[in-house]
Amino acid sequence: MVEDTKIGVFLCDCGEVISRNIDLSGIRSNLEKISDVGHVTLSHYLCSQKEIELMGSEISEKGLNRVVIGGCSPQFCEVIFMEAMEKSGLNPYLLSIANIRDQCGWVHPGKTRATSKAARQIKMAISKARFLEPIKKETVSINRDVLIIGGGISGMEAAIELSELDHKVTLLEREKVLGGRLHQLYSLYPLELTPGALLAEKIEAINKRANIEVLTTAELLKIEGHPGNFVAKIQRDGSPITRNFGAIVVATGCDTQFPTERYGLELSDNIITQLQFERMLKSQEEWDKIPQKIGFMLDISDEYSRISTISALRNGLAAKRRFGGEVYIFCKNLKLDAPGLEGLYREARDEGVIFFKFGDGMPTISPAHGQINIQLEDLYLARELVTLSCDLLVVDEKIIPQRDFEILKSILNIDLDSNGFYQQANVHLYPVSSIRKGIFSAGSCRADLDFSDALADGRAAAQAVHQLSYSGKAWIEVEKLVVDADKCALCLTCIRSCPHHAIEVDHEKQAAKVIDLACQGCGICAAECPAKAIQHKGYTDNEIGAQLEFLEEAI
Amino acid sequence: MEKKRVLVIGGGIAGVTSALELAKNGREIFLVEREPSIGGHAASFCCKATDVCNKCSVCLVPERMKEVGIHPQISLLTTSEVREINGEAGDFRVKIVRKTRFVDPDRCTACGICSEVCPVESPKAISLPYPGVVPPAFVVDKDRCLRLQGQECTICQDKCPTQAIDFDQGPQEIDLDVEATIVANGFDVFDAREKAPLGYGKYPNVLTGLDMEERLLKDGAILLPSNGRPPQDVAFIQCVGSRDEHIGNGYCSKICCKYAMRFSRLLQYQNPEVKVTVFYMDLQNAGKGFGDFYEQCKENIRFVQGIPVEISQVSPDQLAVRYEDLSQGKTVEESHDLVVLSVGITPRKDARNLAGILGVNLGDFGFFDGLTQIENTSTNREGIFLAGCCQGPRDIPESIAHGTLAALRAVRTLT
Repeated sequence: MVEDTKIGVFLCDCGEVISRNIDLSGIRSNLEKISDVGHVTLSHYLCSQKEIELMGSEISEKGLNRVVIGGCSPQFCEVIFMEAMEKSGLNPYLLSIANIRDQCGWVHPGKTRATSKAARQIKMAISKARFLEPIKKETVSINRDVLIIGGGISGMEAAIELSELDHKVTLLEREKVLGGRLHQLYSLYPLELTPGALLAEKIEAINKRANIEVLTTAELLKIEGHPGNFVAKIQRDGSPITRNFGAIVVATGCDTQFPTERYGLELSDNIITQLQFERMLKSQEEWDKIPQKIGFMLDISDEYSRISTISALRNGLAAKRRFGGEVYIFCKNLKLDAPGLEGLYREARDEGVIFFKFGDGMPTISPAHGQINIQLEDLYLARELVTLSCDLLVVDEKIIPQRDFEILKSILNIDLDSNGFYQQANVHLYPVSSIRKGIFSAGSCRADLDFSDALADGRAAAQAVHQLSYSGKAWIEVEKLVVDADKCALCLTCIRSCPHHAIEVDHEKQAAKVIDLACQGCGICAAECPAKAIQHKGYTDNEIGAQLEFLEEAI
Repeated sequence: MEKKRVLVIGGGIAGVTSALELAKNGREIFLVEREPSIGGHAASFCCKATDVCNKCSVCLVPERMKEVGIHPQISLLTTSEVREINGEAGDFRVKIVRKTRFVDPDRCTACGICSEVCPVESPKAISLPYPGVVPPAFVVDKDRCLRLQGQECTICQDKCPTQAIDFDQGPQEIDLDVEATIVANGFDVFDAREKAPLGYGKYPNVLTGLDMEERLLKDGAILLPSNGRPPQDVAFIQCVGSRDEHIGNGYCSKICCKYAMRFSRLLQYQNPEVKVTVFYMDLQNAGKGFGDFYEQCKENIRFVQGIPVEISQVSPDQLAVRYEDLSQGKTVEESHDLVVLSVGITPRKDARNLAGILGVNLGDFGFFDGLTQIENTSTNREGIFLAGCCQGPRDIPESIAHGTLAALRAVRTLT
């Protein structure tokens, strides 16, 4: 307990809403008897400008060093009270709120019971307040430079966006050239832009910016330091490079795989993957190899991929237009839930592409005499058995993580999801953030994304990085979690249990140390520490104990 | 540095996200909302968790609304509409009309005395729309309030302890100078009455997806409107108002397959006996983790490929659904006690009017037109950006992503 606490208790009746069910004046006179309570007021609207100013002057005039509020939920007004405390020179964390409106006045009928519970809650808040410790806030400088790993469409887009927002960017690419998958695609229809033109446009934009450094044939070896101030060891053509960054964006793309076991056959000259077909369309020398009857098989390798649908529609339509002939698309469900796809589907049908839909019964695919015979029960033809043959069958592939995700995962200390892709901090709310502050993932390395989604993802990552480091400063709570070096046995439980990798070993003190910039204040370390060496200010054992002790006594 | 000012039109999840993102980048935001409170459509949606979270994202909305409500750099202008916008990127002059809200949100402390004293009963003519509403202030129902119906009643105004209620105030004109504008005025849900053979509005037990959301949010369960009993045999009909060239909606609304499956799981979670059939054209089951969810759905939900064309009422509690059974190649009729029409997203009726005021193009189907398919937050007018469903159908996470992107584009104009 801090010596000489002088607690100011501010009760609010919220426009008589609270006092209707709770005898606040009774509580007030009881509280005045407590020795270290230096001030008690009861007001109508504590959150009004006038009362807030009054609170501020009471704090400074009477030298109050703790504030206890009995009123509404901290969700509404906590910020206002903290501001008022700060203005009058008191640390805003020396505040304890009893939510007697929502938790007593509103929910308990009968004045006696509501009043006694409210009185207890306020007294609990007072006992907690005695143990509260101030938390300092500090501005720390963070590096505005960004490392982007992967020079595909997401990585390039993130680099361009960040460079335009005045961040210095280092773009790391394992291959000799930037571009990733864009090199393999034939068209981005219905966009007029070809993949080649788009790539040229992006590379030109990158070359024009002086603040983008492109490192090709380069790989990340090691990351040290903390969010805001990472040190990266990079290897390029065998020679090491060291650079400092504030944030890292992982945009390493994905891989594809043809699952032989699902199809029950091997790839061959006339059974090829979608990427192989794109390659044929891309090079004019191969055009005479494109036959008259082409089938696209969907939903067998991966029933839940939109990319295969888009690719089949786009390339089926292109083949139909360029070479005439027959184009068939076999599928279970067309995934058309992205802009423009319904239109593309209609265009393909108008152009004469024929669609077949099979249900749960798998089509039979049998290669014979240079032809592929396909047999399926078509849903739209009353499950009639359809038999037809193609000269070329283009099969769908499964999108899989790249082999080196595991390596990068351990270098960066981030998580992979159950399918082996990078795990987002929150799939909906923070789709490009990882569990570690300052490290982001974008594009198809985190989810099965089409080219335009991958592009948008690169921008989203840029925005997330910019938001974190635009000012080059971060305003953080210092030592919210305190480690008692005498108690710490260096068992490393905290380091293992921290999901944000915010704890490291302080070798000088021989104790664990919480990195304030990385800490998210979840308190897991404090709960897990077997020696009780870590305390979470605002929820210390003393604060909680004092409240519980009081609770027992009162009952 | 002088704070850069941005106008955001529309307080749905996309607009709210744009506002927050910009505020976090140190900008000053004016968030204009037509209604008395923010949140848009998504605020009336329900959580669709069963024993596990089914990732409908609805819970993200109140969280963000609350943040907007208390953010010092965001000024909320409710019951307001943009009337005029002149100038150019970096220097827009905006005229906004703020209709009277009757209850001043800056003064109202949501104490509830006004509602208690209101002489109009069930429901009261002044109420809090729902807990957690932003701004946290009471709202007057114009159609029920005696005073606004021309009678001499000022009871709530007299009793309000903070003098927050004022019936005499007229509309206000507000002039603002802003550097950029983000349009996020949302969407309309397809009006299922346009599909007369499906009987919406005619048969009580035909509901829309939106009705389901609202009922589940309010009551926590679905009961048959005809007799108040729990449904036993529910049919969902997909693509009502979407993927339909006949009515000019040649696009997929993206959200309906997912919400229909989540509702189905929820109904069966609440009552494992209930039978559920989903009639569909193509199931949109792509998306991270959604394939697994669909596999679980398949265990107890009957999926039928084919969209019913007609619904009739055979008895007050029974509906007959007529559809073409593709496996037999003939039309069949089957009975259900509840039919849910999975209605999609359409452009707002006033989108054309707003587009005219802003000088921004509308594209296919009447949604606001992005500059290109990959620059779909930018418009033909520099400094005006689009966010969310006003540009095309999006679910909640996609609207959040789009709102974020629009904010990024606006930031770039301002730097």
